[in-house]
Amino acid sequence: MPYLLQFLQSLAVAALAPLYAGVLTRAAALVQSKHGPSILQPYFDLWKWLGKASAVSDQTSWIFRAAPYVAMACYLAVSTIVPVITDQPLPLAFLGDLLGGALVLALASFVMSLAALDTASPLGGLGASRTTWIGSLAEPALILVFFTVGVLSASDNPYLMNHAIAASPLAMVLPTHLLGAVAFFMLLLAETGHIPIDNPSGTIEISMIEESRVLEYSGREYALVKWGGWMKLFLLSAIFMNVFVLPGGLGDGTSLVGGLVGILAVLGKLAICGLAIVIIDSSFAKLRFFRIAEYLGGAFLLALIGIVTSYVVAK
Amino acid sequence: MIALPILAAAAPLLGSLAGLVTARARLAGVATIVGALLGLLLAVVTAVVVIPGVPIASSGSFVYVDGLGAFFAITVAIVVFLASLGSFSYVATEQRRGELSGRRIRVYFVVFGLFATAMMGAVETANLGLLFILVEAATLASVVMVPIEGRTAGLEAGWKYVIISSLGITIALAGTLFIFYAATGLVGSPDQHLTWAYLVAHARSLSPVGVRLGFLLAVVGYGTKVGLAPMHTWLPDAHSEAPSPASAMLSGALLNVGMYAIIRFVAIANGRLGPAYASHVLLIFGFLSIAVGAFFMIHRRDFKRLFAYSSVEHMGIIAVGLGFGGVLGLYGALLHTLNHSIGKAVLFLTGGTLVLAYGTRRTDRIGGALTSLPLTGGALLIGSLAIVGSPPFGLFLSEFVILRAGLAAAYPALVGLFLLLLVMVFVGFMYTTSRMAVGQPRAEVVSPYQGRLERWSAAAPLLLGLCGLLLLGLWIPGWLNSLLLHSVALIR
Amino acid sequence: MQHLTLASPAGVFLSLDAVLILLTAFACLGSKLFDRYLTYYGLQSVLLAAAAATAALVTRDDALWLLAGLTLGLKGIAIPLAARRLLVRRLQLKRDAGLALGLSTSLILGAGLCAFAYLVIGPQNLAHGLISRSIIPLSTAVLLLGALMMVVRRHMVAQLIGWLIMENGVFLGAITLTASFPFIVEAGIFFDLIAGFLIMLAMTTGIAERISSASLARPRREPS
Repeated sequence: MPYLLQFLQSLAVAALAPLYAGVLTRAAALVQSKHGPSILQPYFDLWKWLGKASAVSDQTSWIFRAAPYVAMACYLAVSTIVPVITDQPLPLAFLGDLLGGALVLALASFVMSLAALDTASPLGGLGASRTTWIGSLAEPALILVFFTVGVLSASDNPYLMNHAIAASPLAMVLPTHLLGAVAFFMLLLAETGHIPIDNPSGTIEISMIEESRVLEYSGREYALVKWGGWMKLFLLSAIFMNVFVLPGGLGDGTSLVGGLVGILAVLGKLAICGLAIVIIDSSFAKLRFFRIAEYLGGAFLLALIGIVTSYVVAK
Repeated sequence: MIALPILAAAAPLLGSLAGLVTARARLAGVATIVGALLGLLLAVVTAVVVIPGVPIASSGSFVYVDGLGAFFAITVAIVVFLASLGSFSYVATEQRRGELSGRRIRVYFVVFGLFATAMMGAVETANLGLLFILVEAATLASVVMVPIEGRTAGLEAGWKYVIISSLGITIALAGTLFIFYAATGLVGSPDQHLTWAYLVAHARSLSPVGVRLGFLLAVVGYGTKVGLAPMHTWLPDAHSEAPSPASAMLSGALLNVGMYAIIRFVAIANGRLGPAYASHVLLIFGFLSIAVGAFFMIHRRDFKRLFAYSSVEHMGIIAVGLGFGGVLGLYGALLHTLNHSIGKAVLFLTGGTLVLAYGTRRTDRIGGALTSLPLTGGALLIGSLAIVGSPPFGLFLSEFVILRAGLAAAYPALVGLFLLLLVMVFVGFMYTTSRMAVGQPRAEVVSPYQGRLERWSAAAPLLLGLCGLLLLGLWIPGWLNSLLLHSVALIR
Repeated sequence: MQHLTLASPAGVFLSLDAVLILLTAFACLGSKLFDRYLTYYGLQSVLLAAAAATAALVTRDDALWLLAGLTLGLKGIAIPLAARRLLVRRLQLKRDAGLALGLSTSLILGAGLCAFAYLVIGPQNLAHGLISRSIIPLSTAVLLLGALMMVVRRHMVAQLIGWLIMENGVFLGAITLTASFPFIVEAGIFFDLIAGFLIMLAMTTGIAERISSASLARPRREPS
């Protein structure tokens, strides 16, 4: 049974990530008083792209063709080790904890940057350098956030953190936890390229950050790249909601029904998280590029204060 | 009995408020002088009452005068009295020349009264919270005085003064709070935990960390008010831009009030941590202040800034005296407080006349004061000699006592350093002021005062002060000796 | 306040409140628009009033209610309003140009001071009671941040805000003590603060009117 749940978890992540992205796009459009595309539009897009042939530049090497597969593999790997539909570790969860998960996500990003550089196109290099710069500022903050997790649950295993929060609701209002949660949300926006870091639906190449990395892709590889991006958003939001905000409602790792209920629960939580993302999307403008350092510095500071506060405000 | 110190404190304010009736400097000035004199007399009476050993105290120690408080009250009252005499002639002259409007004169005298009363009140309380409030109130009152003559430089100096003082004072408040924390859990109502008498009596049961932190913060915070280096940066600007009688009060009295606060904290710290900790802290700040004062006195072009750096140096000497400790050190420090107040007041009032006569504060434009203004020039020369510590004036005696204390405490190297710095001070200070006093009269300068009353009130504080310094250098009256010994016993 | 622990709602609220006050101090340090300074200071004062009200509720001390009301009215509303109208609008201050250190550097220094305050004071077990033990390091950190603000900003209004933040920090420490700080002393501190603010206001306006608004950021030094 656990193996079935393991497979179900990865399947759910892969299958529902486009739905999440579609709902976000639709909600953002609604907030702006537009009609917006159907929430199933990402699925139609995926189907369209998978059917098309890919045009590959002759300047590239094998890295360019292999990168989307490697990235997709990374995201699938991360989907096995974080709590998405169950709150007990599934058989493959031993592969990594939060820190390991962050490293694997960083690997995916690294590989995509390599592919962008490989195209020898100026926009590719631009996107790669910008994303790497943001990553270099966001990663230390992310690590500090994991330390705030560690303060509360004495480890950085997401499952243990989930249990710690679920066990004592008091832990939710501890300053350490709140600061860590806010910092993690800020980093979520940074890592997945949403406002105020980047505009995911922007079309002006010179101001793109994430999108310009994948500009050269087409056809099947493009489908994989896009899908991977949606999966990353899904995973980070799931971690945010399941580990920091609302730890309940997940399956216990033994029954299939529990797993299915867990899927519904995580969809509900992601709706809340998505709402927050959409509200920020519609309320703020994209930051000037060099001000991103201040934004990430703010996240770093919040995480740092969270850790330092834990020394004085007891558990 | 409580009414006595309260009246002593309120007298200057009542005097200056009475003079508010008119905007003419003459009447307001006379009323202020009367109030200040009354305050001085009442302070002396308070001291007489308190010497036998029973302090005047109210509940919560909001009013609490023991020997130490009475001594400082007398010191402050003397300076206020001298400054009020000087204010009369200074303000009257400025009004006559049209440099101070009627409104500003009213503001000046009211603030003068507030300032004096707040200072007197501060040394008459031993409730650490009320002490803070009154020191802050005195600071704020004096801040209004700094830019009163309407110069832009005065406004900027006043800003620097208020911002740095406020920073320091807030740190002192944090120090007070830490001492309060150190006393939590002890018996007695919390109101008592802020009183000095209670804290000293129960010093053994205070939390050592709280006392350590609180003392350090209090020294840094109140040290900003006192002008200890490196928190002294506001002092030269503020004391030079303020009108001279106000500078006299700032240098002569307000610095002492800050020192009074530090002494109270020293007593608490000594009670809990032993004399070593407070001694080291004070020695560090003290020697730094003397050094800063000595170095910055060399070749000053503005003589009021010169006097201000001399104040920094002397406050350093007092801190060093407190740091050396023992009966000798404490006695010397307290005596030096009194001597320095009188001497600095005399110097600043002299400076006031010089500014009015020459129209400038620059030392290269002032010369031959002995010839043009005999009394003022003479007071300048003699006062300078006194302030750098030459015999037979009082400062020599108190510095000598502090030196002996240093040898008694087995710090021969520090004593040597102290002497070296004193020599530097002598050279730096006397070089500038002697060139101002002697030499060819530079321009056609006449006495700025008109009328016998003005001349008399300008001359009186100089003569009184110099005679007092001379007296204190040759003979310490018995009652003063017993008051000092009594105060010293309270601190140890 | 001695029995206040983290298990009671008042304790949780108070510790959260204190952290938010710390965060507003950081926010002030990290911005360079004058309007923002005043907004964050006002927010901080409102939070401080809430903390005072919580303390009043717990200790059943009526004087603290009065103090909470004064804090809200004067520090939370009146001072930001007065400063906005008399300083920012009248002198048309927009962006603070007098930064001695960059924003990121100041924030890092602030974080360092915060950690210093916790490390030095936190484990000392100065006062009894869980809340007092955790709030006092926080209030010291706010004090240090206010002092840092006064030091790294050259503009007079920014220095004024820094001082006000310092006083807020001291107040936070004073109202959460295990036994209440005598009310008359707190009231006296309060009115000293108001008087100081008014005097600083007058000086700033005076200098701005005499020379120019730009000179507020670069006070002249005495020549010798």
